[in-house]
Amino acid sequence: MDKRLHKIALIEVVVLLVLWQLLAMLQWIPEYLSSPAVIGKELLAMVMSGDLFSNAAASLYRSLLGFLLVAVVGIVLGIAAGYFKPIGVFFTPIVDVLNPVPKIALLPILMVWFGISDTTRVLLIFLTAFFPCFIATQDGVHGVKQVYVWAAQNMGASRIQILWKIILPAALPKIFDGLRVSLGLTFVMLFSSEMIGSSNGLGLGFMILTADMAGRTDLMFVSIFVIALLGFLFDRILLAVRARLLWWSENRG
Amino acid sequence: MSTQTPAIDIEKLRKVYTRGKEEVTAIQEISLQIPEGKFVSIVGPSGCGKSTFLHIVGGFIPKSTGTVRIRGKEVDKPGPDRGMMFQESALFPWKNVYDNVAWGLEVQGVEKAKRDEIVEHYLKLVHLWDFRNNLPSELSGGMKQRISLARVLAFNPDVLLMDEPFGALDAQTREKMQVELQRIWQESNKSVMFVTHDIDEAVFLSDIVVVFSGRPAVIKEIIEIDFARPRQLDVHKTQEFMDIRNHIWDLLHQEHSKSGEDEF
Amino acid sequence: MKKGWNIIVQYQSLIWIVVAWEIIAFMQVMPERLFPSLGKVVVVAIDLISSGMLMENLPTTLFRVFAGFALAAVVGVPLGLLMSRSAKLNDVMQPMFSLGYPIPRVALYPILVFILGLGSASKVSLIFIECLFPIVLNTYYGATRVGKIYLWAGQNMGASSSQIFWRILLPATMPTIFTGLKIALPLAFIIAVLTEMIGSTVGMGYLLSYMSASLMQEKVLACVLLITLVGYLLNLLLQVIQRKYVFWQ
Repeated sequence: MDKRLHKIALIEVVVLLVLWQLLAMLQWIPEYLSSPAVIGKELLAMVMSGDLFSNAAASLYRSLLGFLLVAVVGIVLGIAAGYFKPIGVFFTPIVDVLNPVPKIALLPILMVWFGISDTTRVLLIFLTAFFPCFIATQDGVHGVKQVYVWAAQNMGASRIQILWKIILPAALPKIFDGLRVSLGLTFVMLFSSEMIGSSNGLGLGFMILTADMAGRTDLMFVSIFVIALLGFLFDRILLAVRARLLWWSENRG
Repeated sequence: MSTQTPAIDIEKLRKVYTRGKEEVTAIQEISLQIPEGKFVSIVGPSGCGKSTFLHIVGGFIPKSTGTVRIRGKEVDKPGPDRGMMFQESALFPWKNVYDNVAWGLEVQGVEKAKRDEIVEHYLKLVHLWDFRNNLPSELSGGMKQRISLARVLAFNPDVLLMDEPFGALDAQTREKMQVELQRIWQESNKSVMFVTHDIDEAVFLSDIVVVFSGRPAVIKEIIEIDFARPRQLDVHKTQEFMDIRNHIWDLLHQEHSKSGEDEF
Repeated sequence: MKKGWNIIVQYQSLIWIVVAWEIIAFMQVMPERLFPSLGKVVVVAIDLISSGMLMENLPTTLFRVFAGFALAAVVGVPLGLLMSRSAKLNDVMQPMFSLGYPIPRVALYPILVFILGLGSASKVSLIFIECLFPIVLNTYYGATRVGKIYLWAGQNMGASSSQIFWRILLPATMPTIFTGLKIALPLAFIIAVLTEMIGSTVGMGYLLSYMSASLMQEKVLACVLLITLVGYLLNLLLQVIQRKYVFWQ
């Protein structure tokens, strides 16, 4: 079933590319929409020159650092808030007030405090992606069936053992749901933070901006393609890790 | 009896599933006639295909071969000539009790005044007229099934099909519902095909009990039950009732030991 | 008395944050224009409202949000429902949505600007694309989980397939449709602000960029405060609508 859909997906992508190429060759679409062949050539050239890697690496460093921070802080605080009631009560108002803030609006403030730097970008990613992870983790802990905890207590497990051996695995499916949303937001904020502000430095967002100013849409498509590819790739990696860890769960897909 | 067209006439019905590359026969071959106005129960070991059988008669899932006729007319898709009641409540949670019962009439284009009259009649028949403005979620399991029964009766089907309608209820509510169903059935005078795994329920309610074998299903025995109606709950205590009950119990347990499946 | 104390305890985290903020502002750890007191921020926010600057920019942003969001709902809900009913349609659409889901679709914005210009068209288009994903996916999964006995009951009562689609499948899926809408609406608002920050001459995102150029943090923070308030009110609106139409949950 899944394999069949993969096949269809591949066919659809190929059809789209062929159609695009055809329309470009017939000049039925404006020139600024470029064509897969031209974009492919540029992509190859940038791979060869190494420009692509340095830009992608800079972007990846920011996004992965932000995501790692989110995963560690979000899961630890989420479990603590879900398991220990006073901690949960402490955090609830903060989450209620800060979660609805469109975090992108904080970018100008962060830029004033921390400059147009990686600190600003990683902080923006963290502030955005933290909440889905934290909320999902807390939800997951709350959702653990009381009978599991009672069964563990009945068998003589300590509080720490219950936390580590019952709560964490039982909450894991929800935690991964949250992480997936956070990962998506990580890349969105990476792109946004690189687009807004200054255009010098390394990063895929800068590549788009520079290409935009030079009117080079083919280069813009190259950057978009690479950002899309990274987003897709890391989502797949997360799903693979999830499938590995959640082999016992019904919805590990 | 033979000159009259049966309410439900099933001829050489067979059902084969394909599961991957494997073929699984759910129903070997079943022929069964249900006369007009009779209450017929189907019992069988769990997983024997009695629900599948009922769903095929309802037209919800396709049969492999054979024919199903309702009052002489062949059917192969769902239709309001067969009123179906499910084990779980199929009442629409976004409609109140009144609108649920009126729903079938509305989609069939029955005019408002007539609709109101019919809905009122059946809600009063099941003694739940006072709850007409409630949502299904505000009612108990027993009340929900009584509303379901009113909803099915309201669009006046030729026959009633009931798939373990009391299966999710507790034992006491169940007995009350059986007495209620008998009363309503006697007033409506419909033919009923009733699937259950509860032998007592089948014997108490039915004119005829059909015993299915284990999978693939064939009819093992057809038993006529002729206690006077309306039956009271204490009919359970008579020797005759217990004899029939024990006989059916033996039939089902032969099936269990034969198939050697000791899982539950 | 006891009740009041309980509320203070319950919200203590917020109180701590505000107190800490005010102490830092008061002690002038950072220059005042970089770290203004919250009181000042509120004053500036009120000033933004009364001076009419909010009303110059808010309607445009709201128009973009609602246009993109409504378009996505009108297209996405029927599409999701149809995908659950037709295996063929699902085969065609599902791969696109699972391929498109993890990629940061905002990256398409510069291209959309190239095609549609810097005005509302490119922004509404991006909002539409972003909102379509949660709406279609939630509608689809919700619709596949609708108990088949509801559909069977409808067929049993003689309903036509269009009656089953609009009068059973749609209401039965409503709770999950709203889950999707509730994800989509804040997204629409964020994308509107973001795209207006990247390039626009009007809108809340523009106001924010404009204020940040002044390098006066209280003005920027006042803007953030107003944007948050608007986002909050948008969610509230959706919740009211949900309570009205999904009353049975």
